[in-house]
Amino acid sequence: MSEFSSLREMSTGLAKGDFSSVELTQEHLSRIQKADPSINSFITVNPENALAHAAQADQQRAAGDQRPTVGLPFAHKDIFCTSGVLTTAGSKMLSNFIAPYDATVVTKMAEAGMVSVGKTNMDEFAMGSSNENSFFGPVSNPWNTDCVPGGSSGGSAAAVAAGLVAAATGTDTGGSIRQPAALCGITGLKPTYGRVSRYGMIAFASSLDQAGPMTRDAEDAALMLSVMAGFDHRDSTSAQRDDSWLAELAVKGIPELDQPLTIGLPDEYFRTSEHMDALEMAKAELQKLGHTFKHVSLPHTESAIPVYYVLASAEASTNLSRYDGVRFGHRCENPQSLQDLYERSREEGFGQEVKRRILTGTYTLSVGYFDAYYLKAQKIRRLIAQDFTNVFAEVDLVLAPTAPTPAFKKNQLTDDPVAMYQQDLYTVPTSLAGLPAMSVPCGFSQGLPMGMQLIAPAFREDLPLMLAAQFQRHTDWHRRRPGDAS
Amino acid sequence: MIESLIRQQQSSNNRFTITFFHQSLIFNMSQEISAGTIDVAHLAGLARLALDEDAQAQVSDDLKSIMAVIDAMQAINTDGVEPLSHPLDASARLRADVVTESPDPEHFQQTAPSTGDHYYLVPRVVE
Repeated sequence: MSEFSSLREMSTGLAKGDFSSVELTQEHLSRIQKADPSINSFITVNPENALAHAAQADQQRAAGDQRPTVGLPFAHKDIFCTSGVLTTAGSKMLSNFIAPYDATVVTKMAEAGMVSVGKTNMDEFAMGSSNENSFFGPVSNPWNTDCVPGGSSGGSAAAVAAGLVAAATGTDTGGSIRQPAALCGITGLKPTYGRVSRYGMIAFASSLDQAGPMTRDAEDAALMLSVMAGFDHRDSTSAQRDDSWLAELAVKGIPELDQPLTIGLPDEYFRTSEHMDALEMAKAELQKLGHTFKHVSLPHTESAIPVYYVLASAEASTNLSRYDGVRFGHRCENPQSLQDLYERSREEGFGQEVKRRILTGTYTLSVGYFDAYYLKAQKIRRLIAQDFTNVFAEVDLVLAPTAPTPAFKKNQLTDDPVAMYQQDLYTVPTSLAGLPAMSVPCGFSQGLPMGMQLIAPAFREDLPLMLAAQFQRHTDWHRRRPGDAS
Repeated sequence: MIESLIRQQQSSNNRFTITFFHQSLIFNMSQEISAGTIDVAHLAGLARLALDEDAQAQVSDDLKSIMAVIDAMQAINTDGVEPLSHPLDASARLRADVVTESPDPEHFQQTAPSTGDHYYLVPRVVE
């Protein structure tokens, strides 16, 4: 079994009895022990729990459990609450936090027999596009360790790209699954808002947060999604949908597309030059497969960044008010008053970017500014969503770059928050509209991987999954590994 | 001994803390902040963040550049457009108003920095 085997390949090996889940898990743990010190993609590795769950999975398989997921190792982003295991969200504030309950996603993965080997590094409270905002240190991009892996799910992306795990969970508020997937050369899917439960997922911006899979290919993304998705009464915005198609994908794999698609190319997304070669090749390949392209316009694209930073920061300032040093998380030493306890616990517990966003949100929500910022942003959010509705009347899917650049050097953008925010330029509009979008490896620039983004109408994850699977059956970008000639 | 008990039940204690926080954030906003100037010290007080002068100066510079980006959206005409709060324009699902879980302070207070007799301990609030 290669370190770059997919979940599906490992599942076949487990079913045939080529190896046990315990053996597979042990191999993953030794890879992490050997290679992760140079990447720092994990915050917590959990050998004892992992091996116990793997042994249980082996027993389930021996007893006739034929579900493809039983015994497959993977990793959780450290934003999902795990009972009895540290959950930090990449923050000093939660560096001592052991959740008293499991997130729904954690429960679902465990019930599917999947084996979590540990929790991956991330930008603090999922705020960042480079994974340099983690209290536990930056993550390195396996393709070039001087570069960032993207963020905020940078640890999950780097762990998959380095062959430490075949799959990891991620979360995406403004691009935090798709951008690191693109920068690390892996496949990442942000599902429709409401598709995956947010219960037990540490909140950043509740009207945008959505969990999804980060994997080697579309087949594994579908398998992971089939486990993660589903209605949850504990999440008030969880969507009630018929998920039987996902269960079918898990068993049978992704079917062939039975008809060519009309793919929209939004003019506003093709104004940078670095992605053009890779995207042109991807377009040519898709054209060979019979798909047609149509130029479309999403005219409010440029206003998505300001709108996002108003709404996400406002929601963050509210969500993060719960960290007060009273009930859980970091508490300062010798507080002199309740006010002092609040202010110093928060000052010491939060990193610079988190404080910046809390203050931005506090400002835009304040009396006299609410209408000018928050309400205005909500109105433009509707215009952005309407742009997509208009476009999907003409095309089946939208194709765009995932990120404006390939992976950049560490410290390159840390002193300029506004430049860092531009990394989200092509991912934020989709988040504001709540739509599913997928990043798929499609080539290289300067020796670093590039991603193309496939955006679909709400609850049509089947479309990007089928198109990506078809593309990956005819290309090998998703099989390139760090160290391969690019 | 600077810590004292807040004599309320666990659930109402939680509500007290949260309400206190939100009221201060939303309703006590001073009118000192005016367009073009950001009183970072006041803002930090509202957000319950102790920032020293150096940190305030840095935050002030950062907020100015962030607000310059944000202000670009003012150019968009939104006359007659309704605000969108849920991305798919759905309303929150309601549930029956019945008890579904029972309190378990032993379990849930394991993560608290300081507790006693199922209360959260904080510095004395009332002398």
